[in-house]
Amino acid sequence: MTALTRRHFIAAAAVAMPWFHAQAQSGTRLRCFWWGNPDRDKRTRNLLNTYARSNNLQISAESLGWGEYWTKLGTQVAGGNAPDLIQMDYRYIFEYARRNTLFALDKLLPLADFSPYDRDSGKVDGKLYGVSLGSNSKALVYDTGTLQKVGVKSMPSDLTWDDFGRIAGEISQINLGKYWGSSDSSRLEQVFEQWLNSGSKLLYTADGKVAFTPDDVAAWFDLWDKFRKAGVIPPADVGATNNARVEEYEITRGLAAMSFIHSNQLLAFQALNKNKLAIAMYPRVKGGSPGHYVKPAMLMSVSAKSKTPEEAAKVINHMVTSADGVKTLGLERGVPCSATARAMLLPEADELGKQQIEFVAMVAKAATPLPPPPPKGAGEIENLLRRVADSVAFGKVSLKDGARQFHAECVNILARA
Amino acid sequence: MNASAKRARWRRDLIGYAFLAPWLIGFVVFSLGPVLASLYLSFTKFDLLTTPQWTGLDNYVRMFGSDVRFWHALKVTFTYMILEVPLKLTFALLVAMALDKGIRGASLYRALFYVPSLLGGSVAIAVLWRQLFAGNGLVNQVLLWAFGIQGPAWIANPDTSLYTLVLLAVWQFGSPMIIFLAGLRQVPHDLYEAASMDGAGAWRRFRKITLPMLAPVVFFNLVLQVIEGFKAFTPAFVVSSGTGGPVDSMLFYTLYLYQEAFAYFRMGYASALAWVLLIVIGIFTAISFFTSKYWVYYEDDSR
Repeated sequence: MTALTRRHFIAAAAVAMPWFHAQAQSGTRLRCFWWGNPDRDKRTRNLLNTYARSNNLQISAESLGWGEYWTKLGTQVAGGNAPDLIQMDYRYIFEYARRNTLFALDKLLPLADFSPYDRDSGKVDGKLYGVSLGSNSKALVYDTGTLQKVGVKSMPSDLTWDDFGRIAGEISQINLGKYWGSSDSSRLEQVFEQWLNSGSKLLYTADGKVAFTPDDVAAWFDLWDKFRKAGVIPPADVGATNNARVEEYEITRGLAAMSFIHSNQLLAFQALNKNKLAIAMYPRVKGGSPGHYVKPAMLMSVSAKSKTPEEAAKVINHMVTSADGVKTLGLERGVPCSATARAMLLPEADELGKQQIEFVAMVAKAATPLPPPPPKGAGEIENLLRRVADSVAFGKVSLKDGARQFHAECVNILARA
Repeated sequence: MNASAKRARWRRDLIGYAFLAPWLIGFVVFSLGPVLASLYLSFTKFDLLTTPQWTGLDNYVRMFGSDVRFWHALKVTFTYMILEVPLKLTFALLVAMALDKGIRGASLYRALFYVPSLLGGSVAIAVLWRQLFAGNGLVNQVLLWAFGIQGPAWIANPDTSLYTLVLLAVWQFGSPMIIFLAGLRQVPHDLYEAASMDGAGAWRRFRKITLPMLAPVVFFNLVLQVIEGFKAFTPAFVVSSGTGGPVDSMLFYTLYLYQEAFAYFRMGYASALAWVLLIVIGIFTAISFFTSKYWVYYEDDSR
């Protein structure tokens, strides 16, 4: 009896196995992972759902905030469980490509109507590892109503750091100790880099070494230290938990009138802010250049481990060339690189969209050339600056020691990478 | 022993091992294998994606010689443990003693008090904690309303952030409480009666009867909590959004290990960190066991 039932069971299982197998295999499955915000998540999910339905495949979508995204992605890639479609950043693409985790897309995506500048922005060592989903530049976002209160109709784009400090200081006087002119951005690598660029310096040399000196860092910390002491920016504990999610910025939390972001983020910030926002270039050092450059706001890459890189590449192609893809994503990820896509969006662009397009065009005219690609370890250095700048802001280390420590650690990280 | 008896015994053992096989295979494949692999990897430079390169003792030399964050992470973890373990055990014992008094609805309270232990390690609670202790969070609102005190931004301030995690851990006192409660039930009541008759007060009864009788249970809880303390990860990870910040104030050792491994692709170094953690936990457990003979009394002790 027992033997019989056991045999029956095995037989039944053997019959059922191929069926289960077939169930698991039917249709191509893709996974797409990006860092985002509520607005971007909605647009991306819409695009992926429509595409999946009309092409009879399954696409699962995941998104996280910037800070958590990179650890999660690192974990997945390291565990051999990378998503097929990976949203990439210019800071990280060299690292990921050189660790052979990305698929070279040259043969699959010719990107005919991209300008060479835009196409090359996704290349590492001569091969295409990412497709720019849009261009952006760094941008100072500000609350127009508050700025008007201190007599600034629109921020001039040749603002110096002195002007910036003066304007922000006046704003801080409006509601003393509750509302400040600007968020503390001593901890943001992108702002530090622009400050260096503006003074004709660089973050990294072309051969991937540290290009700034400890004195540069000390001067940078000193700039913000003076702002902090003068009450131009909030005390350290207001911004120390900001990990670059839109809702964590002081401007969104109603604590400051200006924050340092990127031009494409204007849409996401406006979506969470009641007051009318606008963007301008970051301040520059006295007599310096703007220090801005146009870069891919984000790229889309395909994992080297993807089982169907062709299918994944088709999704990217859909995002950047098809009318449906371009219109669904809009300008939220920056100004599209394809001329056809821009032509599709321009007539329909609202005021925010127009502002963004004009801003990127303005920066393109005034821009300094794209700095050398960030070396392996650039992502870690981004986090390091947050940590050291915070210790300085909290008074845990002196400004000079903090600067020396940051510089030494950068050298160390790049040497180990 | 003759041959047939030997064979019979061997067969009996074999059956035992056969029943153990699923666990044994699981242990060898999923635990022992990776453990040995990590020992090898700890002597290499390994970014997970390319083949490991043998670097000898480099990882360990770096760790003890020049890695400031390693020492800092150890300091944070020890500070956390030194505060969390005694506080949690004291609190658990107090609640257990109150429940042992036979108050009405004791079993309901017991279940209620245990709930945080079930939830406490979860991501949801860590997120809740972040909200509670934010600059404008509930805790500060209550402080302002009740005492007129403007509290600090508990989590954003490196001087206070770790204490919010200590509080979170102490709040999960349920499991040592249950164990204490079981221990208290074992203490013979006639001892208390005799002591009362001799005029011993509550404090004296606690010191002279409860504590000594409970020593093995205290010891058990202590070892368990010390190991748990070293292994704590989720609260720090979620409350600090994976950064360990501000200013590394919540950089638990495990979080540092995680960052090195998965954020910065230094699996070789992370493996070395894991082995040092294992040795540290081993040392602390050994110290507990070694000292236990001086303060733990076992009823069936033949000394």
